[in-house]
Amino acid sequence: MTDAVDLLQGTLDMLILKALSWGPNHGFGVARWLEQRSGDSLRVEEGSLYPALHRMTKRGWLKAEWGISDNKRRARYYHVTDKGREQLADETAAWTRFSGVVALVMDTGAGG
Amino acid sequence: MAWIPDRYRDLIALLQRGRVEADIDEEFTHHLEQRIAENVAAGMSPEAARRAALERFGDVPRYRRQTRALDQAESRTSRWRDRLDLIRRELSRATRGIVKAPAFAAVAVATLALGFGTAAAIFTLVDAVVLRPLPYPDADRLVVIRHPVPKVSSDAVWGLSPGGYFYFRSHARTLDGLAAYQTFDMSIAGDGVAERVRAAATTPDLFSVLGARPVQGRLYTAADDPPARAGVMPTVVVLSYAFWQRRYGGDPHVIGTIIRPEGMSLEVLGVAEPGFALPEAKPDLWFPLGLDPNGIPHNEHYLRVIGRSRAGASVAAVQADLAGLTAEFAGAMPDAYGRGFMEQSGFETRVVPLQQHVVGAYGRVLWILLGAVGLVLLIAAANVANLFLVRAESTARHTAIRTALGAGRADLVLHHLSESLLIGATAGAVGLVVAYGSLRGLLALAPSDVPRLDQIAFSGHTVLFTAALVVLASVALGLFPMIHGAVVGIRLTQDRTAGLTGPKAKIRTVLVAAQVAFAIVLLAAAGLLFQSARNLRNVRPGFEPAGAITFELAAPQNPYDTYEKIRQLYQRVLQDLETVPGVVAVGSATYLPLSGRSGCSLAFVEGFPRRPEEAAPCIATQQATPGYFAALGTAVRGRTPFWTDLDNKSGAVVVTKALADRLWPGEEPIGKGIKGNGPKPPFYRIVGVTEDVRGDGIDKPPLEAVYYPMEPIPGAFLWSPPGQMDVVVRSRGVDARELMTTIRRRVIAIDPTIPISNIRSLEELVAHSMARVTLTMMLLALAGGMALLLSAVGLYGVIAYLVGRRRGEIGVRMALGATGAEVGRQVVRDSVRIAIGGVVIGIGVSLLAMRVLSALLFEVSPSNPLVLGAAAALLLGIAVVASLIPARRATRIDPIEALRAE
Repeated sequence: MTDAVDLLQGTLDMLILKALSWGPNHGFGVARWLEQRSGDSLRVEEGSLYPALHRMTKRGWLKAEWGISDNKRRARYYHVTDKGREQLADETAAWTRFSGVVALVMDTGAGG
Repeated sequence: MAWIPDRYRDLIALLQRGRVEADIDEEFTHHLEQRIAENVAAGMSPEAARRAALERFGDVPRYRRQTRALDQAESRTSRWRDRLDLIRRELSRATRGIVKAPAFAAVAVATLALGFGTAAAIFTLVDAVVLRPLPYPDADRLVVIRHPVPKVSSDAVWGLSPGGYFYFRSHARTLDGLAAYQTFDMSIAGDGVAERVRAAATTPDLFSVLGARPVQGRLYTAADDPPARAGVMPTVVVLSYAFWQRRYGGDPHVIGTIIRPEGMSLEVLGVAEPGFALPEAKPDLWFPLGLDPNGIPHNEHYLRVIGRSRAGASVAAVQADLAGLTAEFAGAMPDAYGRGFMEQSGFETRVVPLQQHVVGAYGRVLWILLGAVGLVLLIAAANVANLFLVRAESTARHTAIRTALGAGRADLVLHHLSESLLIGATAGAVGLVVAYGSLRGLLALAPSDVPRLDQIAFSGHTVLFTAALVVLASVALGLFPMIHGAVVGIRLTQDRTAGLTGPKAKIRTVLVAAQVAFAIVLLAAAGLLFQSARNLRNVRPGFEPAGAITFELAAPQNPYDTYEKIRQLYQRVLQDLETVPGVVAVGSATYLPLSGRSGCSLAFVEGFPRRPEEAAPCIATQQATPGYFAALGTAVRGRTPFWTDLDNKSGAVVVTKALADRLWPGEEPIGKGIKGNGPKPPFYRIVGVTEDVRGDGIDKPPLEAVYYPMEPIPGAFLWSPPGQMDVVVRSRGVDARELMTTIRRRVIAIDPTIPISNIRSLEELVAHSMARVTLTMMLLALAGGMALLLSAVGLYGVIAYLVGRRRGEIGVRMALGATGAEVGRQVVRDSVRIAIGGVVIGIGVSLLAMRVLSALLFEVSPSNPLVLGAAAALLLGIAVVASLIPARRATRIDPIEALRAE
């Protein structure tokens, strides 16, 4: 298990943080949020959410607690910690900068 | 944390692992169920909904595995963090505790450091001399092959003969290589400065057997080693790296040049790699031995032989292989190994691992010493254990409070362990310094024949060994007070059990008795060796060690190549030295007694015809000059040869008493004839018989030897002209150093190319021959002294403690009329009673253990009652002395005060 963060993984972390920034949710809830927000065009294996959730918990970005879900089943709920919020802000900023630069480069390429 | 319930902790870990998995499963199940429900709601069949949900989730086992790994790593690190926190807390608490008790800490550290240090020093010796492999590749496959001849003499072990060597080399199935060599000293006289160098003549396969490589040029091979028939000398030489550096400054141009030691003319082929040497010597020059595989086998055993066993062949297999071949000798080489010879000599072949051969007798000595310092360490640890006990009691109140506040047994264990580990580690560090210092002292004392002395150095092994001792001792010391209950179950009230019988007093008594027992063992060992050394010193070596010096004189083969020239040279030198003021007698012989050299050759006795198959006895033969016995101080019955005997070729010889007793029991040996090369006349004529001479060692039987003249009489061949001899100069009232200067000047005046080397006094020669026993004795005496001191401290501590605890009782007795003297006597009696227990056990252990010493003992039984009795008396005396101060204190107890304190 490496802690090295590749682009996809980093992106997934960011998306999970974003999903949970609206309020505590369980793994399935995060999956459904991603599905709805992306119009089901983001094809992520849902199982990969769980190693990510647990890793982020270990890093202190999330906190996990057992609760009862809407269908009256026991489920692990995750919520974003302060540290997680900072992380989300950092990543959002970096992402914006990155996508902006990429867009700029691509535009120039197309126009020239 | 969690000390005792190790089992439970494992169980908890198991349950935890189960819980982690169950949680993950529950999470995953929840996810999949939700998704299936959604799919069904969207109109899928339950089966299709399940498949779609799983597909969307991905590889369930893989995600499960990844998640689980994360969670377990999580719980592991947090557990470690907790534990480290706890240890850090306890260590700082222990440090604070120790800082508050500096006397306790200082004494404990010093005592343990002494024990650790001496143990580490001796271990370093054992490691370097005995344990570390020899510096050859696959050294464990190297064996030494020799021929014991038990019927010639129980100690006699010969080398191989060329015939035997070639027979083994061509027939052995368990050997990959077999190399033979000889070493000797020679002179190199380039640039007018004569230098003695050590040379080795070897078969070329020595380099492959020992795995040598050249750093310059090449090593010689079989092609460079033609059989040396009459007068053919070797023509090539390989230099040792050290000699190349020393004499040629590492100049590569020396390859291909010619060097001329002693009239030989040798082309330098190459330089061997640095450090390459024989197991027992460091030759400067290496050249081919020139053995002839097709030569006629002779019964002459001058070769040293090292074999490399085939991979997988055990030493026993090689032994069996060569023993089988030895049995074929009589058939294959009947002229050299007649059946009569084989039977009469008990000729056999022995294969010994090279390492064992090199380490030799010192292996046992060093293990014994390691055992001795181990005992000293135990005694030291017992003292420190007592200190810890006292400390545990003095902090008992504190501990009791902690227990009341809910500290578990495990917490207390950790607390005590951290304290003992802290003290142990400090003592270990100080101990390494002690070891370093004592090692330097030991090296200065050690006799030069200890193998591999130059390789002794501090190594990682020493540090590891010390660390292991520290951990062992610290754990034992830390847990010890708990085991006997000084800590657990303490009441906050005072414990009033008194006398020798209370549980705490008892454990101390046992500790001190054990110390006394160990001390007895060490003192007995030291005493036995002391007795041996004294017995050795009382043996007359067969000469007068005081007042004589000796040195080696070597006549270079060029121009001294005949008996006559050599005899004239020695006669000139010796007669000239006789005129030096203060000199009483001068003489020389091929080797001195106790010099470690020996050899034997056949002797034939006049009027004693032998059947052809019957072997002549093998007798030590020497060549000696007139004046030799007078210079040595050996008493001779009859007369000693004069120079005129040499002029007249009278063939006058001297034999030792032991030889005369063997060859002519009950007869007058003077006037009898003896010679070396066959039973036909002419014979040499015996004119004198020496007293018993201990030639092979003071502890060995007297030498059986013939002293032939330097020049043969016509028709009675002698081996070769004695180019190198040991000169002995006996003087009176002259400073040895000044005398040596004069001698040098006189010898140079006669011939400046003759080197003088190896200058010693005869006393040094004797001391050297006893060095092993002397060194062992001194070190054991040192260990015994330390043991004695530590036991005295231990006894004192316990008696003082007992008196302190019995203040009340003593007060009552004095109030009832007991006098101070009575009370004091009681205290001394208690001390002696404890010591007697230890003495009895110690003597019992000694009787069993001293057998390991027997190889070192000389005319002392390992169970010598005098030695054991003296050791016992010494310790009982110590017990009395150690109790005197506490006894005095007891007599001064004021009954009123003592009772009030109750």
